Formats: sequence, structure tokens, C-alpha cells
Amino acid sequence: MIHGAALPALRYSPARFFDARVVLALWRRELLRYRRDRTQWFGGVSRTVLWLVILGYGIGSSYTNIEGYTYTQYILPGVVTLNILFASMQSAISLVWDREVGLMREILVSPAPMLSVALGKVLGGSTVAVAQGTIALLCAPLAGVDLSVARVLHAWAVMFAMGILLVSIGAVIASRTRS
Amino acid sequence: MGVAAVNEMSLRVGSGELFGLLGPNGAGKTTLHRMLTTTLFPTAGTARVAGCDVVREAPQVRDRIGVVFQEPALDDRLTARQNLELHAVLYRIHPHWLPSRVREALAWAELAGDADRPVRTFSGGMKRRLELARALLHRPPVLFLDEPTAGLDPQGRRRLWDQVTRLREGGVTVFLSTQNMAEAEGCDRVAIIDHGSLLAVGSPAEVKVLVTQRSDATLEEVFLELTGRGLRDEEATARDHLLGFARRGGELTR
Repeated sequence: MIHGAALPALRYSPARFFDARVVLALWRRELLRYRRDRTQWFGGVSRTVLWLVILGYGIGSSYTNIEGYTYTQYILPGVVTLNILFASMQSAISLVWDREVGLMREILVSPAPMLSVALGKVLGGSTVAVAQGTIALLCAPLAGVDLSVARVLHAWAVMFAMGILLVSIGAVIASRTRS
Repeated sequence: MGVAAVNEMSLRVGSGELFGLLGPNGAGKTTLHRMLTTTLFPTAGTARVAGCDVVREAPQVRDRIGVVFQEPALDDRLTARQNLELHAVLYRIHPHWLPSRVREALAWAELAGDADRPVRTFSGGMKRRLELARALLHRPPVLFLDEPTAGLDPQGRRRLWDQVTRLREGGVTVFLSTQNMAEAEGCDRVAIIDHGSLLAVGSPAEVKVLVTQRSDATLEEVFLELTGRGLRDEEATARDHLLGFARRGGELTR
């Protein structure tokens, strides 16, 4: 029977401020949502193609040397950042949606520590942002930049930090927005 | 200065009771729900749920209640199973019990065969059953349902209502708001509210006699007598505007 008296040891004791399981579950939720969101994938790929391939090769032919880099190399970090920026914005906007018509109302009446909820959301949004940025990063060899493991790890660290900053700013704005 | 949505209301719901809250649109039903589920703080007065104060002991109240909102609060990009698993984590279900509780909830909602489909492919009735099962997953002694059968077809409505009335066997206290008089008849006790005030409270039979002095009156007659026949057209809420924006296909919607 699903309802009835409480089962012994059905639930573990409450955490006041931090519950790692809650953080992990909300992080996982962002990734699961991302996996099903084909428009976001498409956006990431199409922005990369538009900037790097079309503009990069188009304008690149008239600028051959910008401070020692080719034009495509010069704008590559910008395209990565653009993808991170868009993913972070999307994450903040989804928070507004979530609160009005989605799961966030259910989360807000749950006893889960809200700090852990926020942390899970920010980490999840940042991870998605890194994934989106990586789409552009993968095009680095096209621009003549070699990708070594160390370079990718370094880039990911910077991208993740950027994601955390932007998703957090977005979350603060979204939580103060009355739609 | 805001409008008082709920004002000077005093009522007590017994343990294990199926309690129905009736009122026209804008009567204050949802505001009362939000205060009792600790998402809105009352500006005055006190309320206790399962023995805990909704302001001072909000975390304890949250631990002891299950909530179903007026409109689905599911993640429609996740599957039914993933929605239930997330709920189980939020309510600290022990990892040892988690798979069996999720399985039981899916079976109870009659969604075992659809467990791994994304919720966006579900019908309104399926979503409602999933939400009700989710609200029961952590075995709360008190369950809040805000118009649980709104927008369902008669079959879906009947099935959901049967499940709600069967909760009495498990001793769950159910506090529900409804606009459906047939459902209100099935409650142990009902309260009729309007403009934030309590107009009548008691068993459906008591309320009928009290208000109309006749025992053969229907609850609908009682309701209309107390709240009048004027239409209650509400202003579109922020939520309606947001949904309208989504339907027009606004930028970055969902």
C-alpha cells in the first residue's frame, strides 16, 4: 500500500543547510533536460558554424594578422564564450518558467535545504554551459589551434568558472523577477 | 497595500478527515493552501499543520505534508520515474527504500508501463495520477490537494476521486479545495468560503440543514445561497500572461 503509517527508517534524518544528494539530483536534472533539448544543441552548433565558418572564413580573408593570430583564432574564445553566455541565459530563463509552470513549485514546498537546491541548479547550469562551449571548442583544430589534453582541461576550468558566474547572476535576476 | 485574500478564518480539521474547501474563484482557497503549505507567510494569526506551526516550524510542516498544486508541477522533460526519484531525494527517502517506493508509486498511479516516457507525452489524467502518487511517496500524514480534478474528463476525474477517497483507509488527512459539488458531497466535512471569510463549516448534511433549513437541499443550492449568483470573472494572472506568451511562441520558451 502506498499510503498509511510511516515506515520505520523510510527517510534519513534532515540536513539543515547542505544535502549532497539534493545537489547531485538537481545537477543530474539539468543534464537530463539538456539531453532532451534538441533546440539548445542546434543553437550551439549553428552559432559555432555561423561565427567560425561563415564569418571566420569570410572576414578572415581580409584580416590575415591580428596581434599574431588569424581572425578565426582571434574570435574562437569569443564564440566559446558566446555559447556559454547563451546556455547560462537559458538556464536563468528556465528558472522563471520552472517557478511559474514547472517543477520548481514542488521543490519550493519540499523540506530540501534551499541552499543545496540553488547549488545544484548553478552547478547543473554551468555544466550544460561548459558542454555548449565545448561544441565551439571542438572546432579549434579548424582554426589551426592544437587541442592537447592539458589545454582542454585548462579551457574547461575557465569555462566552468565563467558558467558559474553567469548562471549565478542569471539565477539572482530570475528569482527577483515577477514575470 | 494589498487586498486581504484570507481574513479572520478559524477552522480545525481532524486527523484522518477528508476535508473539502469550497469557494468561487478568488475566494481565497489557493491563498489558504499556500499559507498552510508554508509558501506564503500569514501577516497575522497562527496555523498549525500536523501539530507544527506553519511559520516557526515550517521545515517540520514541510516534512509532514504532501502537496498537489492546482496545475501540474512536473518536469515534463523528465520521465515519470525520474520525477519520482527526484521527489524521493528532496524528501530524504532512504536509498535502500527508494527503488521500491518509486515502483509502488508507479503501480499505484497505474503508470508502470509508462514509467520511462517523458511526462510531456502524458495526458492530463496521467499527470494528475503521477502527482498524487508523488505526493504520497514519502508517506505524509497530511495531504493538500488544490482542485485536483480540475480539467480532467469524467473518467479521469472518477478514477482520481476514487483514489482520493481510498486514502481515508490509510488514515491520511486530506485537505482539498474543489469546485465540484459531487466531490464535496463525498467529503467528511466541508467549509464554504468567500472573500476570504468562512461562511459555513460542517458535514455536507449539517451544512445543508444549517443554511437552507431543509435536508433535501443539494450542496450546490447551499453554495449558491451563500456566495450569490454573480459571476466571478478574474483578472488574468501573471501566470496566464506567461502561458499566453508561450502559446504565441515567444523567444526561448521552454
